[in-house]
Amino acid sequence: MKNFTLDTKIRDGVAVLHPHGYLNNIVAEKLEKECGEFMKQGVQKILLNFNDIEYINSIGISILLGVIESIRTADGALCFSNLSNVHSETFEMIGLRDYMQIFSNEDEALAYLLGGTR
Amino acid sequence: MPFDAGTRNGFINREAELGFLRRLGGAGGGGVPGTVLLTGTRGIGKTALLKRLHHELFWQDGGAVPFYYRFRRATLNASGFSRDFFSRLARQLVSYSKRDPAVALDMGVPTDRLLYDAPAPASGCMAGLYGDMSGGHWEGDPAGMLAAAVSAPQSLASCIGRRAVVMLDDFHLADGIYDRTPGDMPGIAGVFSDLLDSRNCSRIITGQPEMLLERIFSDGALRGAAHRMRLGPLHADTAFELFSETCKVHGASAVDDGCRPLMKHLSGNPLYIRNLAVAAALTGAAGITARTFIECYGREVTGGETFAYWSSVIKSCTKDAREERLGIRLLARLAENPGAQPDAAVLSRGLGAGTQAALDAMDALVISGMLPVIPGAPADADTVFDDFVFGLRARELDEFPHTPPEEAVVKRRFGRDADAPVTYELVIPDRAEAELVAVKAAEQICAGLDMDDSGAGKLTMAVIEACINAMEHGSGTDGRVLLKYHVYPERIEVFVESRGVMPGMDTAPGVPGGMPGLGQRRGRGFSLMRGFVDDLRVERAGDYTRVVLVKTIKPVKDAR
Repeated sequence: MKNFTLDTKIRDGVAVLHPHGYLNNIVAEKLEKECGEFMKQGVQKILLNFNDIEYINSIGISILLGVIESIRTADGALCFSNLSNVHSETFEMIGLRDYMQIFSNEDEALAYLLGGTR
Repeated sequence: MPFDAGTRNGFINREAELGFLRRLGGAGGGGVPGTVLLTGTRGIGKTALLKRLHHELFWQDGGAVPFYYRFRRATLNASGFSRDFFSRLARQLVSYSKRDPAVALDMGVPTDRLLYDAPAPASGCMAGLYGDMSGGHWEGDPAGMLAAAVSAPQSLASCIGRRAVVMLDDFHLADGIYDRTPGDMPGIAGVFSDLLDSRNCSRIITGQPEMLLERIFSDGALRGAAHRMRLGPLHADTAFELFSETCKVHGASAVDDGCRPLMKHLSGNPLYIRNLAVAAALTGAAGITARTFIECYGREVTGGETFAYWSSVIKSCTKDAREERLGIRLLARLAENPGAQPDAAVLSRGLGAGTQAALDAMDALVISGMLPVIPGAPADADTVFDDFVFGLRARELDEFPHTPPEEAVVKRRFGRDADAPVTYELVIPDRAEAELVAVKAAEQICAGLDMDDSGAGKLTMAVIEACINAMEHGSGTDGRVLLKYHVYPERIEVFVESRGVMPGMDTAPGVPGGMPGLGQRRGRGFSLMRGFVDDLRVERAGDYTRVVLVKTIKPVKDAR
């Protein structure tokens, strides 16, 4: 995948995933897999930082929906941060905002996740 | 002085020429011949160059004293010219000695009162010259008046022990100085010979057209006395730099590189470049694109400042409104057969005017430089002037009854209708992530337009979805997706085609329906496209399916 890299880190017990590039089906599946790994390790709170995502396609979004569903089912919490205006509108169109929290930056999202609410 | 010596705008990239002219102000004229004949087409920057030199000399301590005089048709009567010439000269000397540019611009102070403001010994010298000139007036001796006025620069320069650099603009008009009726005082060389021979004065003479100036200097008394300096067109890069700077000065934030190749249409002429840049900036577009350039070009040459400039040239060279009208129609007629020898008798019939009237109008156009001195001779390449005349043809001869002149000009010059889109085409392979190539193309196209980032971002998202859709329904055919981007002034249309028929096209034509629920993994592409663009169509073209995305271009300033 030339157009994709993924940085991951744990901040205060929250898994922060920072993908770069084009969020299509292949990348979304990788994200899905990474999230699954963190969940298996007992990390229940996940933050996706979209700061360096240039493009998203509908197939990638569909896979993300599956990730949201899995995390909710496992009683975990998932937040998005640093979305561009266009990507934010895209999630709005799909109705994703009703199911999850979106923050303007990583610190705000972390504060929310560490506050214990979801 | 036609300009404020305190400013230095209007000059660009004439350093070599300026360096040469600067030497005129040095001791003994810097070894440069005493008279420089500065030529070049209208608007090429002759006056701007003089302005810059004047500015430098004005503020230079201990250098030559600069004098500038522009001949005017209204003051060609010997008595009027003498008074005007002397008065402006006196003002400029006082202005120079006080280092106050405002004095030269204030024509309200009577000349005789001004004399006492000059520092000694110039004051006494000026008073003496003024007395000689007034004496000529009272004695009914216009030649005496002229001689006194024209000798003033070198007399004053001698008096204050300094060199003078005398700049005579529109000097071709000097050929028309008369006593009582035009033509009664031939022999311009005699009138100006003292000034042109003076050793403590250098002269820079400019005017229009070049051949008329040359004719003046072919006079026996002047032959060989002048050094010729011709200003050529600006280099394309300099032209683009001037265009960009002028756009920015007038409020545009950026000029797209797509304008660079269009510079050739402005003939490297600073007047045209500046006029078009101002017009483009005044459209309010934050970024000036090739499209803005083209649209403004059509308007500029058929109704903008450039049109006004050439119209004023016609007006100034013709004697009355009737001849002006005749001149316009004559230009339009002659443009029908460029290069042909104009026949006054044929033209007079075509214009519905007498032969003499047609000849007079033709002479006026020759003097103004709009027609070649030798009938039918090729003129300097000037596409803007050609298009100005083409616009006159469109208007005066009603050649394009259903097309406004500006559109006819754009079509002629740029080879397309103003309404025709600028098109780009691209073929990408049916492979994962090849859609990113289409997206990059869309981004680059949008970057060349005055389009808000949000609108461009949404269009690129829609392009991604349309490509994915095309790859999916075209899978197993020829493995290609064709994209066409049609850019109109107010919208972009993107056509995304691939071989194969989208499922359901035949049974339920049109755009597939609504957004699926969250649990459903696929089927959101068309819903997203619909949300991102202003119009979405799905068409079947033979064995191709075509998705058409239409996005309105919302200018940056409107999107804020």
